[in-house]
Amino acid sequence: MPNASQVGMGGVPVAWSPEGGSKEANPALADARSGWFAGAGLTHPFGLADLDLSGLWAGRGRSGWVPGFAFRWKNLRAGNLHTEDRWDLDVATGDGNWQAGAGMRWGRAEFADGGSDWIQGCALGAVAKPHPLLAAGLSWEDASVFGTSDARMVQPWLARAGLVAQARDSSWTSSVSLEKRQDKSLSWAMGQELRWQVLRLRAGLRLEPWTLAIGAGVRWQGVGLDWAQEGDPRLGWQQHWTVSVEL
Amino acid sequence: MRGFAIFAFLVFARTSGAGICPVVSEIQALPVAGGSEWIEISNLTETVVSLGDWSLGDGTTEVLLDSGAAVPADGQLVLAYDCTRLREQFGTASIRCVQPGRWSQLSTQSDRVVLRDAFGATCDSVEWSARTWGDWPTGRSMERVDLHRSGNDAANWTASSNPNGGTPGWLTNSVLEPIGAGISIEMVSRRAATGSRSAVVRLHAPWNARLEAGVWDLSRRRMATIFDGQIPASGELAWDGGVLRPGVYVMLLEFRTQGKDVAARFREWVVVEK
Repeated sequence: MPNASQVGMGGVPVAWSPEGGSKEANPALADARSGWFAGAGLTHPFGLADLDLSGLWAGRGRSGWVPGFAFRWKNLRAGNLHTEDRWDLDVATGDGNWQAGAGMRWGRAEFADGGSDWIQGCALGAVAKPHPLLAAGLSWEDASVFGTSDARMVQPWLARAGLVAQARDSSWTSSVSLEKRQDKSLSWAMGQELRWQVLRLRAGLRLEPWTLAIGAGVRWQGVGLDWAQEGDPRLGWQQHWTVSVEL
Repeated sequence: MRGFAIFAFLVFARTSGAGICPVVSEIQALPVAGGSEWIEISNLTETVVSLGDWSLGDGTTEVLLDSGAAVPADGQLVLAYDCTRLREQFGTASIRCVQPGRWSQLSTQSDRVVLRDAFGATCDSVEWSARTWGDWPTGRSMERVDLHRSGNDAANWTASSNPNGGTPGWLTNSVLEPIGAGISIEMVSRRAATGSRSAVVRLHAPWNARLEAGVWDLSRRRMATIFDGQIPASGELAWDGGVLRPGVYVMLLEFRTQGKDVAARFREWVVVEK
């Protein structure tokens, strides 16, 4: 998901969702905040023209007996040769010390030769706060668990774990996350966010594959604009832009 | 004396095409096993040039050419160590070929070819070395890019892109660039499907450049190495997707011309279809 507030921290925090976050790393994060939220993001992967990745998300934190929920749509377009859409729906509940969530995953890809593929899967996740300033999260996702149109489209499972520490006044946040895809090596990321009034500054590092990320954002009265640049010198850099609102 | 001068001019004009000499246009110094070394000469005029009493040398030894040899108007003549082998290798008896009485083996490390006319005047000369021309590509000839430019300029020669390793007796424009040329690429096709369709990249790079090409997924994970070596003789890189699953991938092409430093780096996206 082209979400600058997450990408600017080197990856997607599993135990915490930054302001304006799309909360994609863990279904339990759908209940991470109260109130309505929405956002949109855009990037050109690898900085390549004609390769567009865009996303929209919206949701609401738990309200009374209604659990928190989040909806996301992601679209990848490669010229007129390929389009890929992905829809996620997460539902989560909990209290101040924990949240648990589950989600559905749908996807469809279309190719210039007329071929297409689709996927149906699910995700599970949980977040615990053993200390007011510390959160730990776990999530698991398999976008093919309910079926695929073709074995070649199978998405392997993806497991994530993460820790987040935050200052009492939220002036800084540190995160560490691990990611393991079924047929890939372990990847980890660490990130840091600093807040000063309306300004947010972020930096992150990811290994396997290694990438650097920096980001900045402004947030005023619930409306935010975020930017991040990530990548490496060999494969190139990509910039993410995100607008978001939280009520 | 004046009469002799007029006579000499007329002979010269007749033999060398009104003063424009034939030029060495292609050289094969490293043929495949069983092949023959050869040198192609091109006539740039519309007059037949007779090579009677002409000689071919390397600066120290000179060999008289066959008195009946002639380069056709706007045509080529091949001087070969063994014309029979040459014709067999290229599968055609139509190559106009002449075997000098003696053949001084060509060196890929450092050598020179000097073509002299009937009066002993140097008509054309080409000098090369591994330092200036790079390592000679095995089984491939070196073609002169511009026949009107100096043959001693390494930047005027490039490796043949012909699948047969050369074009003795006929001219072609190699798709490969000479040493020192700029590097660029051109995406011809971005679609790949295993066994049925290939993504194709046209390469514009010095013929001796090395190319490393790989494919990454959008998560920046390396998925495959698709080429690692001297750039293909065809000047094109084709990839059918291999065993990768359908989707979008990024192709990274890195060119090295000397040493280990990357001289140019390009990224392009490709789609692997079902």
